[in-house]
Amino acid sequence: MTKSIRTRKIIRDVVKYVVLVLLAVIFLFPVIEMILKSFMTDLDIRFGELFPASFTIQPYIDALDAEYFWWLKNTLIIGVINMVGITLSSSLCAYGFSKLHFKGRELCFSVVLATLMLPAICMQIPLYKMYYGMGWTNSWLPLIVPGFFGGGALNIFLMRQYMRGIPDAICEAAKIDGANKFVVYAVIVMPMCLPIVGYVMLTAFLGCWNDFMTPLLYINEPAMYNLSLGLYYRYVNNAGSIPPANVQMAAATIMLIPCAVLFFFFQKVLINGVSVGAVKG
Amino acid sequence: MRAQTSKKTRAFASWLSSFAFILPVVIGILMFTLYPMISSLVYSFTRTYTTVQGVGGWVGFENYSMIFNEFWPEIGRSLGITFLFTIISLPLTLILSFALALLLTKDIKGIKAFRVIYYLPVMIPTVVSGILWSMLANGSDMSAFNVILNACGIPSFPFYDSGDTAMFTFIVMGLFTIGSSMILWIAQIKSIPVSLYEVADLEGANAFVKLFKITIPMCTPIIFYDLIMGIINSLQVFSNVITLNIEPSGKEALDFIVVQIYDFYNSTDLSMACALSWILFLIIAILSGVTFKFNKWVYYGEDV
Repeated sequence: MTKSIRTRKIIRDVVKYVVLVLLAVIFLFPVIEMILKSFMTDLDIRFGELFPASFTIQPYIDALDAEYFWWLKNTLIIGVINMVGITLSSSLCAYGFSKLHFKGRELCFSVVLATLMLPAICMQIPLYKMYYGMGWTNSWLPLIVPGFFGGGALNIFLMRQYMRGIPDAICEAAKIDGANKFVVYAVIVMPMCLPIVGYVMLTAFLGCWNDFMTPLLYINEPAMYNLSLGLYYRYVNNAGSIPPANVQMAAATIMLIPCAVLFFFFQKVLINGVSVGAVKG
Repeated sequence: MRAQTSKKTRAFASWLSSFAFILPVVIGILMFTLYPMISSLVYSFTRTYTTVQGVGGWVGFENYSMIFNEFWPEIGRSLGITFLFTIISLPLTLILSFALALLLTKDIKGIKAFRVIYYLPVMIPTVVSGILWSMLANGSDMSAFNVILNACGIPSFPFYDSGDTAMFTFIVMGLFTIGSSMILWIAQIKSIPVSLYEVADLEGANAFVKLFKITIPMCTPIIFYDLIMGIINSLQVFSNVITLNIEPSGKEALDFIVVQIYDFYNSTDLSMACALSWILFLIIAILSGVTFKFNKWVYYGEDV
């Protein structure tokens, strides 16, 4: 009797693992195929091989030209500036919404949350006119400046949620010792918020790295492109001849690497951050 | 009198010093949310171009009437495509991500590694995903999916290169990112008190009853969140389509409403783009408003 239960349990476990592994293969297939294709010769591409008959790094040499590195540099600059701006701005606001008490706070916060529901496209199109009037088009200002003004409703919400968990008594004690509001923010609250600060910095950087629509709308100058836009105009929307698939895959693989590396190192931070936001919201 | 004013000043100074912390987001919303929303409403009643300085002349409802008359064949079709995608992909994402989460909340060794693997496709940048899927899922016999199909003795499938199958392919591509939804489900399922299941066991409930009487009702906040966010996001599909390098017939079948807005914008017709984006905004507002109105089924915990 117990034996048959045990056998049934083992069978159930085996079935589970088979399903899990099968799903893992499906989920990973596109990325693995991308990496494999990036090492193929033109001949293998033409014959539609799934595995390269012979490995070559020529696609990488073709894909990584001076322009690619230029775009990469642009993307890194924009990403780092945004990382700082978004984290600074959203933490200041979150501190105001969680630890300071003043008239109009709740009203302002509900307005901030309400902006989450507005479709981005409704704002991005008319903003062109404003940026154009200010001479910002074809510069990085549209990609950088908005981050310094609030840093996104979701980030403010997540930070506020986290800061509410810090006991008010600690802040009060510091205040009695003569610390002003800003000192409490910088010396007491921020060091206690490192996990969520890390999460916001990470997603801010990745958001910039992946951002496609904002540069598409506001930047026309190839020298100002970020990597997303550069790859788009080179491999998707290119009036001339588009390079072969192995070169495309090499360029795409390089772009994926930072995301993959950051993800594997910080997956716990990322996954927890995502779930905290929604479950508590 | 003097003491009173100084007290008032001090109170105001204190208020100001607190308000200063949220000033960035207040300015941000005024400048990058409120101003563009209002100006786009104004532009939609004028004839304004992106390449011409200043706001054009007032034309009343002409832009809106053009949308519902001259441009309606295209725009109506785009709306249909957008709704079709939303109606199919939203429930599919909900159900499949839930099933995946159920599979991953079991206590099996190595479960965390699987969670990471299933989440990985979410991290792929839009442009990379576009380039990648144009290569994997085109209609030629040499595309990765067709090579596999052919190896299994199944004839080639057109995928993205035919108007009939492009939408199907696009929905399948979207399913590769259900990991983000799955993570929310897992967090919610894990927060359900074990005692509920223990009581159910004592009462002799089977797995099916436990699923429908405990797990799903306790997860309604996630269903609600996913519904609202799903409506907002799937009505705004854009980057995932435009980054695909596929045959025109496939592109035509994926002519989502925001692609139309972008086309107007690209042809410098700012007023038409704004008018159409306001229509989209109203549609999203109505749909999410209705969802909010009928949220009686959402369980918010005992204390609310």
